[in-house]
Amino acid sequence: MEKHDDILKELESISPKLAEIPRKDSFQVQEDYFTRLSETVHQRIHDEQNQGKVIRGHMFGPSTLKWAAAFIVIGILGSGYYYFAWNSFYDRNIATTEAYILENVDEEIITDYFTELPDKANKNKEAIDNSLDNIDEEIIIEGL
Amino acid sequence: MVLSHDDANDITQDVFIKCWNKIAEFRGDSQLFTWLYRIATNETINFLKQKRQKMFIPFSKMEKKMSYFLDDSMNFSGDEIQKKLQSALLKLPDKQRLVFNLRYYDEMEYKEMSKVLGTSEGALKASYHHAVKKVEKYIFYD
Repeated sequence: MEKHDDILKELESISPKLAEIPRKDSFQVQEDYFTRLSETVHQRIHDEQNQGKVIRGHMFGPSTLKWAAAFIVIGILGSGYYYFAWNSFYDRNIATTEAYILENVDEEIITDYFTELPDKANKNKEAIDNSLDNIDEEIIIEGL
Repeated sequence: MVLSHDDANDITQDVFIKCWNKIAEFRGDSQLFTWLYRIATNETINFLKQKRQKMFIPFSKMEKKMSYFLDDSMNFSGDEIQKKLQSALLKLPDKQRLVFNLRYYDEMEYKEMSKVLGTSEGALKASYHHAVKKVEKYIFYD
């Protein structure tokens, strides 16, 4: 009772008007609510124990999803950076090599190289065909 | 803290189940009463937070939505002034409303409340003072 009076006095000191409102808990529950609650809680505990812990909640919880999203974003940004950085490096290298060749290698050598290129390719093809002709087909099939 | 009977029922069940699961971790540093209250308040605050997140409802609209329960609920038997008091409480931030409820309805000492909520007594007194002033303003002057 003393505690109740102290709390009422405190309320009166802060708001006398509010202290005049009769204090009552206006929320009600059905008469057998707590009897049924006990049964429901027991049932839920029983069910949880039978099912074991739900792993899904841990695996796909909000924090896991946040981390997954962060990894995906970092992955996309990283791949994008790698792609553009590599491309510009590759372009720069080709351009540098071309410039170096044009500046330092004699034009005739370059012309000869490109003229002989188809001949070399043809010769290579002929050599491969010849060697294939000389090998027994059975040996090839066995090798495969 | 929650006006809907179903919400209150869900929280009550969760609190008892949590207590059952965590009873082995209760070291007896505080009273069992304090421990139970702490679990109950944490569950309630988390429930309200999750409900807002799930429904994508801002605080102001949530309060409006919850106040409909007062008109429809079979479990609320209060008169007009009690209804207004409950509507005023809905306008308070969760923690402040919790402090008001613990003091006004549960008549809890600040010392005990401090152990339950992990907040200093001074801060709780200030919080209760602000809550009372806001409720008074809403009921009598708005």
